[in-house]
Amino acid sequence: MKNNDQALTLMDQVRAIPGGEHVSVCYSCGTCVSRCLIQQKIDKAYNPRRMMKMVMMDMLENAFDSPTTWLCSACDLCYPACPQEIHISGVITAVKELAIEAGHHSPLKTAQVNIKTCVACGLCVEVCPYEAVHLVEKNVPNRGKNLTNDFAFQCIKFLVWFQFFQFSAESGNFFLNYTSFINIHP
Amino acid sequence: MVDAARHRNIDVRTYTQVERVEGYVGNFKVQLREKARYVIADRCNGCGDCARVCPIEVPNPFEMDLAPRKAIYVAMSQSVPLLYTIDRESCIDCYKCVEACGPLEAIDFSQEDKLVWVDVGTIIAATGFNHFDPSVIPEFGYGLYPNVITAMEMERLNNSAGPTIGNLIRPSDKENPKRLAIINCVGSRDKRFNPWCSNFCCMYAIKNAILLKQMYPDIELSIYYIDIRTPSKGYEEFYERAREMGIKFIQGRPSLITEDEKTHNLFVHSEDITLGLVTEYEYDMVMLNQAAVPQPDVDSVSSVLNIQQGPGGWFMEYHPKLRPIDSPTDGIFLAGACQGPKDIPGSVASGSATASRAGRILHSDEWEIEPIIAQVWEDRCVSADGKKCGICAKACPYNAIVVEQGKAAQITIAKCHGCGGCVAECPHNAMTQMHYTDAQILAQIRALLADKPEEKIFAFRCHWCSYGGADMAGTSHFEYSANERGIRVMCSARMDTDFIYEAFRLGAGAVLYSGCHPQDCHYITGQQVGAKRADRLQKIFDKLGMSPGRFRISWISAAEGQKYANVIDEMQQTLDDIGKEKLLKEIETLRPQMEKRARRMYQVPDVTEASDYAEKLALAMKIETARDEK
Repeated sequence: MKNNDQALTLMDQVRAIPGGEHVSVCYSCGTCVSRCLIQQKIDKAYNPRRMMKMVMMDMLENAFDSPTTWLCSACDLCYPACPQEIHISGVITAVKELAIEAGHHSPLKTAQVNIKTCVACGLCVEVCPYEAVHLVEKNVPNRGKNLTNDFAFQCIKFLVWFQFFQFSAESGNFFLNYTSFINIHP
Repeated sequence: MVDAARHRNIDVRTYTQVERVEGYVGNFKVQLREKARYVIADRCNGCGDCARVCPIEVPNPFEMDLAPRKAIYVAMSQSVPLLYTIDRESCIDCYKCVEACGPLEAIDFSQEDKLVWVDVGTIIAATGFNHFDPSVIPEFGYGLYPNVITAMEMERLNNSAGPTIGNLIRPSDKENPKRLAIINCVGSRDKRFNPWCSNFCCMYAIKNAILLKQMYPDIELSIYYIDIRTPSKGYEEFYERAREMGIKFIQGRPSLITEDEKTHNLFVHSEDITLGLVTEYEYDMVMLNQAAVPQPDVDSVSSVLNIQQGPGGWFMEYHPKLRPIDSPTDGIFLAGACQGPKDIPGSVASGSATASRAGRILHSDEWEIEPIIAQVWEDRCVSADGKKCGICAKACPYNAIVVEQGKAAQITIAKCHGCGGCVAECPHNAMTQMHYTDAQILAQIRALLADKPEEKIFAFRCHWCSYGGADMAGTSHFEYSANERGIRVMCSARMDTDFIYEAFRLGAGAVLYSGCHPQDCHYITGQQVGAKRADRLQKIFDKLGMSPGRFRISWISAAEGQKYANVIDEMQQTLDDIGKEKLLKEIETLRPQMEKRARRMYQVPDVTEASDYAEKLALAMKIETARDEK
């Protein structure tokens, strides 16, 4: 029960963000938890029901440090099953936004772009299933350069890898490798 | 039931539908459709010879389609009266039943539906509830997996008169289940289907579990629940007994049921909240404790009986706390689960209560009603001159007004509840409401706006909601602008356009038009009549160029004291923002328009005298305050 001196409680803040409006109607039935594949396949500590409760009980630090905040992939398997029609991934995204505002970082090791070699071809944007990669206006030295055969080949190879690792996502390892090409947007 | 059927004052009519209801408390006329059962009621003795020879078999809905019935059938063997009925949709007209009936000659294929009128003093609606069909919930797989059954199917499988003679078997392989899961809140407490709690399912699940445990001591029973609700006498002890018997209670709503294709065993996936673990247990059979929902024909019954429907379609009572078994129409009562899910003690209590309430009416020669009722000045009603009008009849939520061309509108006094909608709607001012006459209300408006009207916020409040809201604001000590002046009328439907024009003509700074929320109206559709009129007024004022916010419409319930205070404060803010000089100028420019629109009001009898009196009163008050100041 921290931050009681703050004017807005965590619940108020979450409810003000689109997607997090209905968090307070959760009656902890656990449907979302037993639906969740991340809970079952990746991390047992992952628990959306507890996240709802943490938001309601104003447990700010616990919510920001919880793996639930960072691991949710917004697959929305839980949303159609929720009897209270809470958009659970919306709530978690709202908490994530607040956490980033408060200076927290994702504990996941994410991929990064190597500006020196990036040509802004946009292939990585197309393949990312979470829409986490974006093309932004930046001074990229190689933009518009004619791709050598070598370079094009590398990009295509990368595409194949990415898809491969997407399928083996269970292990959670693909986050750790291949850090040199893309930048996962927080 | 048999006692009831044999009682000389009780007339049991089965297979009969209510078509129309006319009249009023103590003098209802009810039209009944006696459906053709193709069996003569006086001759049939219920021996069942006909059903034995009938070659047609169809699913029996009483047995939840688990057993067949013949085309000539009784719903169940304990039916009262024990009369057979032919289902003509499945009958093939072989006439074997006619032969079997023999000399009784009880079967008559030429029968047709009969319409009969009966006179009754009171009506009690006790149409009950229906079961939610869980096949629309995708995750539980009802209808897909044979061993997922509903509570009603369990009831038949477990019944000694049921299709299995009380032997609990699972549908896939006819074996006795060893592991059984009961899932609560199937379709209830679920915003996707029915948001309400079905009241009795927790106890029903525990009852079934205890019953099964007693019959099959080695059975493994688990109850999946969100919350166990045991609010009545002895319920908590019953719950404890179930726990002592070794029945497992798992807090957690299952998110998915999957099936082993070979064995047809079921896997229930759920989080065990108390343990914080996701569990997947195997069961032989799963029982879904489905929600209680209103009967499928609830809409037509409610329109026939003129009973309002609440959220979800349940019948609405007149007042949830103080008149819980009365419908808005006098002489019509609600018993049992047609009002909302009720358990057995609750249904019995409400049934007995309605019976005694109906008895009070039936035993009295005269019935007192509220004196606030509408009256017609017959010489002013245009319908008496042969013109087409009938606006008052359209506004009446109780169908109390009959308008025939060539005759003045007639009000059935016993049906009138005194909302005043007709009085305000009548364009010829040919109606009045006792104790809330135009003259009385106008006198109040004049008196309240006698002094510095441009500073005043004039509020019209309805008796049941916004007046209570203002009261609540007062008793809760919510502060709001002291410039508010309000009067009470019975319903927002009574707030005549003339009153608002008159208030603005007198120079009121702002006018609040407030009443109940649409679903809370104590006069069925009174608020809607008022809301329509208010919207019309708003458009007129916008067109006339009135500053926005001077006329305000707001629906405030009796509990919303804070809202009332906020609304008044906001209106005060609007007046402050406009500024006094601009406001006075606007009042002056609009005054002729208001005068023109309110001119008809003075044709109403007594209005002139009342307004003269109000002026005298206001003058006297002014002199008195001046004297006090000296």
